[in-house]
Amino acid sequence: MEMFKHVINNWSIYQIVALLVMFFLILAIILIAVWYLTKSKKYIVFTTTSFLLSVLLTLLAFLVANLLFKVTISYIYLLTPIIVLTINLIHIGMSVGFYNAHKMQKNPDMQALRKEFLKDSLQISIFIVLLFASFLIFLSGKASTFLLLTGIVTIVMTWVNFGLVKLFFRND
Amino acid sequence: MKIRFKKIKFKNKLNFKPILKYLLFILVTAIIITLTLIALPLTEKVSEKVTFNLNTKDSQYWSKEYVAFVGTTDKKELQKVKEIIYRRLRNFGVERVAIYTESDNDESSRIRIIVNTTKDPDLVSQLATSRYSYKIVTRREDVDFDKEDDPYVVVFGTNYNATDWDYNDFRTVYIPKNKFRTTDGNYRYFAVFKPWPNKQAEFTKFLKEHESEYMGVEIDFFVTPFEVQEIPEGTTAQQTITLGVYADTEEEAKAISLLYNSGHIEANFNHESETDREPDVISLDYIKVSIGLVISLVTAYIYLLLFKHSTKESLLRSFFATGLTIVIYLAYLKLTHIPVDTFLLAIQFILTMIFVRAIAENRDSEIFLIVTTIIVLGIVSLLGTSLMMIFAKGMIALIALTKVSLLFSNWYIDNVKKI
Repeated sequence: MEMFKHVINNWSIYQIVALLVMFFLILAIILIAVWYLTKSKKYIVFTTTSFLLSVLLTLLAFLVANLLFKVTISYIYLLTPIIVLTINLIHIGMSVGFYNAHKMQKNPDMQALRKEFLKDSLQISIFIVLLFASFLIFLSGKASTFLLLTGIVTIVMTWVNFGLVKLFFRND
Repeated sequence: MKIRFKKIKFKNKLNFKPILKYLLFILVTAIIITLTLIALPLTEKVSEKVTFNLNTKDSQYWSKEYVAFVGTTDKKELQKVKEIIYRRLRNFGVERVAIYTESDNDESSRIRIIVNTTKDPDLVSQLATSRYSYKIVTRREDVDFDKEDDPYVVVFGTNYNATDWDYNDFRTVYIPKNKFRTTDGNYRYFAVFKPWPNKQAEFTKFLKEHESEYMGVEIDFFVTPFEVQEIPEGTTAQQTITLGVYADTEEEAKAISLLYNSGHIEANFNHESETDREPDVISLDYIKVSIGLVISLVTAYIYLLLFKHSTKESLLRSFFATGLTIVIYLAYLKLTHIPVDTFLLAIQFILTMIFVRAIAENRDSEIFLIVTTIIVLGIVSLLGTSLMMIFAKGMIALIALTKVSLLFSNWYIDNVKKI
């Protein structure tokens, strides 16, 4: 909670407003782009849920790290939401093309979409685990804590996305 | 004996196209090898004539804490002061800014500004601790400005009378990026004071009343004098004040522009003290990190190949494109000596590796991913904090490069197969 108190007391209003506007604009752009390509309400709901969950998960991770593990959430952690957002965008974007290519079928196969999503989730997880691990070896202190936390949030979010796909996209 | 030479006739005309193609291919391969050698760590040890060092910011960081006195305890006023200083420092590119306010007593407060940056210390100090409140002033009649033994008479604010014109009346002070020629043949930066549209007529009238007079712009008790130009009768051009700026470099001119245009501190504001601090830098051995990242990238691709998560063709193209993107970017950074944060660079490369894999595997999503990611990162670079801005700008360049690298990789691999 100290984390939020610090933001409210010490950040300038310009800083807070600029960051909020940034996140809302980003969400709007992504939703417009997804709608433009897919024209699917399900996809919009899925994308919105995914991004809102990623924000929630990131904040929760910060709280858990701060309260349970006594980690100081410093300036470097401002990059965590950007990294999580970028990888989330890549993950969702990977499936958009596949959905678009198959949506014109009479009975689009949601099982195929889920399979594709599983494949993409595995690939992203493997890359994150291997690349972040190789980087972590050479870091210590707050840099390694930052990278570990960001990596965990990203991987968890990847599989949350897979869970959301199973929830939202089912064969009728 | 008669020797006869048989005439050699070519059945087909000699085709130069394949030969030229091979030559082009050899040239391109040579360029790739050269860029790879430049991008490799420790290349700087190869040649003494040219430096191939990666210019890291790690050693350039410095940190200071500035303390300033603010003559108010009003929360709104204090918040406004914080906004102005944060905006100045952020727009100047200071990597990390933390501002704290403390109330001293019922009448005054203190503001602590902690910076962690690679920017010019003098300029950062000016941005963090100057009030930069300006107003237009006229010369006092009882002061002799032509005194030869007192050359500083023109700069002290006490020798001038205030007018009704100050920072509230000007919408912007525009400092062009280029220097302009002065009357003595030198080049200098100039500031153009542009009034609000509803005050333009009144301002023109004011300047007409003081035509050919020497006036001044007082900034924090010191005056920069200027001569009011003659205004031709019946002219419809917007009248402004043009003032020479004491700046030699573009960065100094940018700092002065930020001081003029980031808002105005109404309350009393004085610089009290400054203390050096230990810079908060995440430095890493980029040689070891490079080796680590290459090994993990290769391992990831081998895993994908062995467990048949993707085709050999797709993996080869994306691996080549990834390598090419990183090699070109690193070579560019090394040749241009652009200073970089090695920590941020490593994270950018990790995201690029994932991005290239994503667009190589999902060709249907390529345009969506590239366009949307660039727009999203563009928004981050405009609205994010300094660290986010630096990160996003680097990522935009890398993503644009991935598309080019992927196209090139496809062409290159297809041509290698034909040989």
